[in-house]
Amino acid sequence: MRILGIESSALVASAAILEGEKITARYSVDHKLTHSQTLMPMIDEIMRMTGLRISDMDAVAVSGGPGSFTGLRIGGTTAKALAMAADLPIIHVPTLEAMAYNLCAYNGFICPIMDARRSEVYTGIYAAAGGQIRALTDEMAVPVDELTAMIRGRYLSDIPVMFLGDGVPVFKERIAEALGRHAAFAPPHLSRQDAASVAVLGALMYERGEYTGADDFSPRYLRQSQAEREYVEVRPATVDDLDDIAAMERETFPDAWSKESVAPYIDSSIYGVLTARRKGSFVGYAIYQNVAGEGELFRIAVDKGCRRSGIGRRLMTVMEEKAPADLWSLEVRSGNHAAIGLYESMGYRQTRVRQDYYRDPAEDALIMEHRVREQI
Amino acid sequence: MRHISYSEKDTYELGKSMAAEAFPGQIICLDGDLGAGKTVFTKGFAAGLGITETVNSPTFTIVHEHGGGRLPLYHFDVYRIEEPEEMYEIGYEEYFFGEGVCLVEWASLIGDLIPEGAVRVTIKRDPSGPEDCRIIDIT
Amino acid sequence: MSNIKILAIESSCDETAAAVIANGREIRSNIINSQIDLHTKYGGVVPELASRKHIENINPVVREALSQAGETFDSIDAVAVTYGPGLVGALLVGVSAAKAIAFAKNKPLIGVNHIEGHVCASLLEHPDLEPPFLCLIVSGGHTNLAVMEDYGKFRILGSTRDDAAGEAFDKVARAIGLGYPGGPKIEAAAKSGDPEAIHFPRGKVDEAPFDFTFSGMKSAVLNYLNQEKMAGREVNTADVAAGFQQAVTDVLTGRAIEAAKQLGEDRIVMAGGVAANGFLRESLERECGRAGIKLYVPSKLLCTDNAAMIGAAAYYHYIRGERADLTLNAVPGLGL
Repeated sequence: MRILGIESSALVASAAILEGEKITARYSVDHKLTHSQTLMPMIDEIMRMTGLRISDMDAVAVSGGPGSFTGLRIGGTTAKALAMAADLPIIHVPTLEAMAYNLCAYNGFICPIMDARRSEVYTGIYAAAGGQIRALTDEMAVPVDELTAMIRGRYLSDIPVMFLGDGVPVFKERIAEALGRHAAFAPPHLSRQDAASVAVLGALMYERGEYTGADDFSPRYLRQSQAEREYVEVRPATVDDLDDIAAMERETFPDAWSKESVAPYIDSSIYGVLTARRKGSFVGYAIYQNVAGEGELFRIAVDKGCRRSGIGRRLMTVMEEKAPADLWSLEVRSGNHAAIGLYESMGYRQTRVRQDYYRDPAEDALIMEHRVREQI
Repeated sequence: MRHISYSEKDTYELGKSMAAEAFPGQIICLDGDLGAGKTVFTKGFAAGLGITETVNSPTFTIVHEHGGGRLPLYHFDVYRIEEPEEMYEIGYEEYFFGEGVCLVEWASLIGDLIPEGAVRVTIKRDPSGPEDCRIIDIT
Repeated sequence: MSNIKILAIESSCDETAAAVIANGREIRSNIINSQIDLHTKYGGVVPELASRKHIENINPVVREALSQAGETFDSIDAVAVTYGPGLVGALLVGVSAAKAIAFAKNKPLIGVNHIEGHVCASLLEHPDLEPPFLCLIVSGGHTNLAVMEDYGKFRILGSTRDDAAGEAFDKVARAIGLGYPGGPKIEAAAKSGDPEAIHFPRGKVDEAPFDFTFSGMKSAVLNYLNQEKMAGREVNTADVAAGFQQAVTDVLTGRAIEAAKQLGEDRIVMAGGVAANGFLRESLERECGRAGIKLYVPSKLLCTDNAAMIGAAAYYHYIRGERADLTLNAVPGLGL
C-alpha cells in the first residue's frame, strides 16, 4: 500500500510517501504561506529522490481542513488533479485528527488548536489508545475561552491535556492561566501539521473504505454559519430577564413555566438561571440545580430562529463551568432527536427510561447522565 | 466627522490623509451610490500609503491586492457578491484579518461580515449643492 | 511541426474552463462550466456547475475537455494555464490543477497571461490572421490596447485607469433602470435613442494617450440623471443609453485607430465580452474601412472568458521552447 500524503491546510507545507509500514519520504516546511510555489516542487522532489511516480501510489491522502482558504485550495486542488490524472482515489483526512495523531502515544487528552483569528481556534478533543486516535468532540471553531471552559468542565484528569498546533504560540498564556498544571504543550517536532501523519491516518481510513473519487473531494472550511459567527453572550439571569424567559417558555413548552415559577431560581444558592443574548437580543436560557456535587438541568430553550447554531451548547458549557459538578443529569423526550444529539455531544449518555412520563403528547422520558472528569 | 468635498481632488486628498493613520488589520467600509467617488477615495488612500501602481475598479475580480506601500492594501468591491457564501469562497477572512488594510466598496451589501470596529465612510451627493459636491461622513 | 495538442485551463475570475487546442489554431474542445451538461465518468449528469466554484468545477471541466477532444492525459503534448491577471483564489485553482497534471503525466507546463489569451482568440477563427496586429480588448473586467508583435510576443500599450468598459456599461444600465447584463440592454435601448441628444465627455488620460478612463463618463451620466430628477424632468432613457454608448464607442474606436496609425499596424483584432456589442463593431468596422485597416472580430463564444484562447496563446510559447516550472504561481496583478 503506497500513499502520497499532502498537507497544506495552514502554514506548514508538507508531502510524504508511505509505503506499507514505512515512511519513505517526508518533506515539511513551516515558513510562510507560499504553498502555491512550494507544494508541487516538494512532491516532485520526494518522488524524484525515491524513484517513485504518482502512478506507483494507491491513493492520495490530503489534509482537508479546517485551515486557511488559500492553503486548502492549493492542497485540495493539487490532490484532486493528481488523483484525476493518475486515476487514484482520494482520502479526505481531517486536519485536526491528523495533528492529534502526532501524539498517538500520549496517555492523556490531546487538543490540537489552529489559530482561526478573532481569538478563535479550530479545535477538537482527542484521546489515544493502542496507537489509534479517536475524536471525543466534533471539530469546532470556538473562542479560546470557550475551549478552556469546556476542558475545565469535562476533560480534566491527572494527566495534563496536551496542546499542539499554531494556536499554541498565540494562546499559550491564556490557556496556562485558565488550566494551570492541567495544560501541557507538545514539543516543536510534534506540534504542527505533517504529511506523514496524514499519510498514515489516510492508510487506516483507506482500509476502512473511507475514500472517494477525485471529483468528490472538497475542502472542509469549518466556517460557521452566519448565526454561529455572531457572538453569544451568556450570563446569569436577573429579575429583568423574567419576561423574556416566560415568553420563550410559552413558545417552547406545552407546560410552560410562568414568571412566578421561574423567579425563585434566580439568585439562589442551589439553583441557577443563565441567559443567552446575541447582539442584545434574548436568544435562550437554561435553568438548573447544583447540590452537593450533583447537577440537574431542568429547562433549556433556544429561540426558534437560532436553533442548531451552538447556543444550546454554549449555555450548557457555561453552566458546567460556573457550577462544577461530578455528575450532571437531565430528562428529555425520547422523540426529541435534536436535543438528544446535543446532549450526547456534550457527553451525556442515556441511563434510564421513564415510560409515558410526558403529556401533550404522551412520550417516554430518557434520563441522560454525564459523568464529568472522564476516565481515560 | 463630516467633510464636504467640492471636487474629485478633495475626495482624493481626504482618502490620502486617512491613509496616514492606517494600521495593519484596519477595515474601512466605503459606501455611496454609483459615481459618488469610492474609487477616487481609494486612489487617494493608496497614494497616501505610497502605492504607485494603478488602482482601478475591482468590480469584476472582487478584490485587488496592492503592494509596494507602507502597508498592503486590499481593495474590495463587493457589488457583484450575491450572498455571503461567495465571500468565503474568495477567502475574505485572510484579507480582513491579515496584516494589511482593507477598503471595501459597497460594504453595506455584506454588512454581517464586517467586523466590529470598522471605519465607515459614506459618500453622498449633496442634493442642493453643485454637481461635484459630496458629503463624506466618517464614523 | 507535428500535431501539437495542448490542454488549456482558465479560471481567472468567474468561469472554470478547459479546452484542447491543436497547433494553436484548431479547437478540439472548448468547455466552460456554465455552458454545458457534463457527464461524469460513470455516465451520470453533473448538475449545473456554478460560477466561481472553481474547486468543484475543475475536474469535470477538464475531463470533459479531454473527452470531447478524444484525448487523454497521456496523449496531450502540454498543459497550459492562465496564471494572471485575475482573482487570486480563482487563479490558484487553475494553476494548482495544471501543475499537478503536468507533473503526474510528465508534460511541459506553460503559463499564459489572460490578456494575451484574449489577443489570441481571433487566431482560432481566422487561419489567415498572423501577427503583428493591434488588439482592442474590452470586457467586464479589462479594457486594454495591446499589440501582438510576433507569435508569443505581446505588449500592453494601454489599460483603464478606473472602470473597464463592460463594467461602465453595467453600472450605467443599472443607473438608468435597464438591468443586467448592461451592454446588451443599453445597445437595445439605444436603438430608439438619439446619440447626439446628450453629450457625455469622452474621457482621456493626458499623460498616457493609450490609457482609458470611463469613470468620468459614468459620473457624467449619473450627474445628468440626478440633475433631471432634481428638476423634475423625465429622463429619456433611450437618449441616455444612445449618448453613453456613442461616447464609449468614440473613445474605444478613436484610440484603437490612433494606435494603429501610430504603430503602422494595418490589422486590428477585437476581443473580450464587449466585442459582442453590435454598435461598437459597426463603428470600428466603419472607421477601420476608412483608414484602410482590416478588422477581425471573434465569435461570441470566444469573446467571453474561455480556455481555447489560452491554448492558442500557449502554443506559440510552446514552440519557442518556453516553459514554466512547478513553482509557477498565480499573479493577480500580472502585466497591468
